Amino acid sequence: MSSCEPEEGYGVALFRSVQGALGAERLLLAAGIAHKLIPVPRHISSNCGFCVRFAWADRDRVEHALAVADLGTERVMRL
Amino acid sequence: MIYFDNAATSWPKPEAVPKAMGRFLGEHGANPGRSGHALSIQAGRVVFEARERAARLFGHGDPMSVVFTKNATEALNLALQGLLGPGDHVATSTMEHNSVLRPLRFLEGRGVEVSRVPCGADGSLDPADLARSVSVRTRLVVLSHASNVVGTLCPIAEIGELSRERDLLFCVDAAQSAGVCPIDMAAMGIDLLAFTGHKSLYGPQGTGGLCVGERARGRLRPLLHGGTGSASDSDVHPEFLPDCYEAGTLNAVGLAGLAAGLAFVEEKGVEAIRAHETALAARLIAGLREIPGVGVLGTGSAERQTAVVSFNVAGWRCSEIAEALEERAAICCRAGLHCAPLAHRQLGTFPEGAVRFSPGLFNTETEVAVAIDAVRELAARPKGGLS
Ligand SMILES: Cc1ncc(COP(=O)(O)O)c(C=O)c1O
Repeated sequence: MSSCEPEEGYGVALFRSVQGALGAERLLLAAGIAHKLIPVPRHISSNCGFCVRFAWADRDRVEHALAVADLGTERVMRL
Repeated sequence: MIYFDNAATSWPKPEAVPKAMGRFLGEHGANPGRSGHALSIQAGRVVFEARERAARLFGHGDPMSVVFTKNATEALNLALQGLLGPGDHVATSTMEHNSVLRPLRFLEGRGVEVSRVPCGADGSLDPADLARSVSVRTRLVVLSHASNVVGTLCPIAEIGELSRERDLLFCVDAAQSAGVCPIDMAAMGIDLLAFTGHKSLYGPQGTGGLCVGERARGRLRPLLHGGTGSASDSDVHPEFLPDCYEAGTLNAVGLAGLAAGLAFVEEKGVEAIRAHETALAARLIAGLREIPGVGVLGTGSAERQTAVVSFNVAGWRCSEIAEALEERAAICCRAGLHCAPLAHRQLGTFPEGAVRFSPGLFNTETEVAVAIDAVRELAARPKGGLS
């Protein structure tokens, strides 16, 4: 698996609720940015559910894509 | 069998609806949004699709402020009980369903002042009458888009404009209109739109929702508090949409069906659905009106109403008509007061009520013709039930 890991590693976008993560998935799909919904890493947040993981190199594109809607984004951070 | 009770619930459903529900249960029926595994994510996607489709259909940009409830009744209770408090005034009409009238009656006991604006004999509301009932203490106007008794349409856009001018919130009960009449919350000035999933959106029973517009955000107290899967480190209920109004596990299998129903409506097109139903209603109205002894309620114009056609037959009780129609012609319809006591008073049909035919998208002109013939036959032989 680690051989597939992007050079700059991963980032995650965390949302107040999974509705935000699902909305983000739509926006990232539309923008053609590779991503994956993953369980919220427990050491980062106490929310249940899932968040969005992406290649950290895409950080700016991700933030740009998510800015168009009020998804309740809590944090975008390096994993 | 002729199913003419679509105003109560639509039947049959488009094939895709039970299929989507079966697929949900069989393939990914996990709890949407509580866990991080693939099945939970897939269940979440299905629910989110329903949110997106509902937002799109109602001209409501934001899927996050589509709140799912178990029906229109719960959505209306959320809007009314969530917003109104002692000293507030609310304006409504006499054509409302009990899902509006009863919460308002309850709130009256808690210090909310309610104006029930009378409608015309055909069920139509004059916006000028409504405007006169508005005072400085008015917080909300709540009206049904279409009457469930006679189908009469309310001038929603006009009242939306009035609500904006007077800085009131406007709540619309779209139980009878969603899916069959064009609705654009932004253009029509609607702040709170209550819909039910099981009528013209073709979803299963147990689905409905409230679209919360910009101006109403943060202004409703939740009806329920509980688990949402979010903010799990806190025992304080969250305040953001949609979680704040969706405590507890959603009816996700039902919403899978609703998403399929909404997709069906989008594919057919609201205008085309409306055109089909209007044609059926026009035939029904014309055919029934020609029968001696039959009195058709409402506007008499299919364009001014939905496909809800209520009538009485001289010499018969409405319940006897419904029973005879089922026995002789296998027609399923509804007789009585249709959960709208004030509407029947206004129409002059209280306490007897009326027979209601409500054809839907899957009915045909042939079925309408059969029904008209069946009524004609009954009308020719008064039973004397009313003596
Ligand atoms: C006008 C109107 N409002 C509200 C409702 C309530 O819908 P539900 O029973 O799905 O809560 C109905 C239907 O029964 C209705 O016709």
